[in-house]
Amino acid sequence: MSSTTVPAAKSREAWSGQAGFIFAAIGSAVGLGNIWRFPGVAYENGGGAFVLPYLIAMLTAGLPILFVDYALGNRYRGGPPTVFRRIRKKLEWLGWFQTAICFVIILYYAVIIAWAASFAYFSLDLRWGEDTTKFFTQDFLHLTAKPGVTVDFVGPIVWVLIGVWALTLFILASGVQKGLERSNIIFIPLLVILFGALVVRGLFLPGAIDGLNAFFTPNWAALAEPKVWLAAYAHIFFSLSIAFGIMITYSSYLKRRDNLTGPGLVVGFANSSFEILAGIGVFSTLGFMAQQQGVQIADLEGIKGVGLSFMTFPSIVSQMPGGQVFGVLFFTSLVLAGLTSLISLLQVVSASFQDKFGWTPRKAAIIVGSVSAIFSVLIFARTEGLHTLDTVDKWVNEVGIVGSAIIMLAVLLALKMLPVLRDHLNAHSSFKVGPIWLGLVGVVVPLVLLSMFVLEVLNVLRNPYSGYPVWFNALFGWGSIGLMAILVAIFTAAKWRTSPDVFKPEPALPNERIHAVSQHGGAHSAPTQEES
Amino acid sequence: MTTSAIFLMIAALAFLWGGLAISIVHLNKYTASHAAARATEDAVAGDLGQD
Repeated sequence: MSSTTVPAAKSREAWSGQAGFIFAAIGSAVGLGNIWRFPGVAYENGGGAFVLPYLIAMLTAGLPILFVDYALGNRYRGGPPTVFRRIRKKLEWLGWFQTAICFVIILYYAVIIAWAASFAYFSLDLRWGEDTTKFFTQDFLHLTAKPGVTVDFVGPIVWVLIGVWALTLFILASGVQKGLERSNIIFIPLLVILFGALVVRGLFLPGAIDGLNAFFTPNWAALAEPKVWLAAYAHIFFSLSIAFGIMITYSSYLKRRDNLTGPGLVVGFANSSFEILAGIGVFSTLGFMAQQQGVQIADLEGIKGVGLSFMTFPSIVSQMPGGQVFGVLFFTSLVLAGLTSLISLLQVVSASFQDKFGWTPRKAAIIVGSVSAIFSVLIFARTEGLHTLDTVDKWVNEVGIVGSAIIMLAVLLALKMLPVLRDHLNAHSSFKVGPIWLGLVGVVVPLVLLSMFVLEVLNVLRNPYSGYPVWFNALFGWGSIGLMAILVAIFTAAKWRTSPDVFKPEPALPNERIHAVSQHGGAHSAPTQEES
Repeated sequence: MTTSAIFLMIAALAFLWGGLAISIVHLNKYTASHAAARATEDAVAGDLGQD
């Protein structure tokens, strides 16, 4: 790379203050999974007893890795490719891998938001009728009976999806303060108010107590099962949006001397507080449904994921007095939770391209957003979109994200970067981290992640996921991972239009070796303290 | 509801919402107590968040 052909990096955008960052980080963490995944996972893994491994996982894995992300982004100041390149030039690919994960998730996440927006509208006249499963799969999605590859698009979904993308692009193009920050400051309180109203209504439904009983009654024997603990660690890991670039990118917009761990604690506790609230809301409502049908909660089907939201909940809405309002509250909550997470995912991709090619936020938003929107429609607005979405989601989360986290922690361990990140966190933060944090992120979390990764890869190799044909899982599951590898290779090889190597991390810390800090743009490895 | 279910619900809510409240109060106190020193540092360093 020649220093004479690349301009110095432009001034980086910044949050207007601590509150803006906290709202945006909560917006990213609180997503669809908080509402539709946590209650079902908890119920299937010991009910009330799951609370214990869940809280332990939050304290021993969720918050510690969140702090790693914050330290990386704030110290090396960029999107993931910039951050990892500044640590070692050869690590740029890891940043692009995290960016590619976000890109693939974006493609199907937007579609779910489009479904939720459609169902918020359908709630007004309870359009799904009596058979909500038939309405969702046949009348709405026009879902093919068997997984396949079709070119049949579902018109109404395409149009709503385009609307979701238009809104997302507008927010992203408005920049960090006027777009990300302002939208989250509006959306997050609105989400809490709407979902809070839904929970209160749910608690007063007949049968709600039975639902809460089912959700919180502990099965202590479950605590002896390793799979329950792995489920808790896996859930908190996906829930907090950690180790795939989002929090790295968001913390890069903080000022160099900003408090990192204090806001991190607020974000972590806010995310889990919302999850418990969601569990109470969802299960009190399921209790009502069970009572109406004269069955036990255990006999209900579709208690998490797409089934819970688009088949079970519409059925409940139809049965309750004033169900229209309840439906609008529920699906609007899904839209808001999804939208704030979608924006954060897209910001990672946008920031990576801004950093590498010197694009303005508006240019990056338009190009990245338009390309994402086109692929989103082409892949997931088709008649077998649900099958594709299900498969891609499984592989990207459990192979892509977990793999990315393992590699990231292994690299930080191998390069002895954890003490540097600890010192960076402690330089200006209100909550100091020490040997316990080092032990957790250096030993406990990598071992847990490695167990999760091996078990999951063995599982998908031995058992066709969700009963889909092997070729389908290979095409859309392993194919997603292959697509990410190709994107990583292309963008790592692309020429930088800015000078990421003209950089010196602050504060200067002893024993830190990073790639290239020459003020002339030359790439070499040298100890930071020698430069200063 | 069973006693254990009630206990676990209250314990989880108290831990999480209590933890959230404490972390917000702690953050506000820290921010307020460091505001003056921080303003001076920023003025000297000209730190506006850029590289």
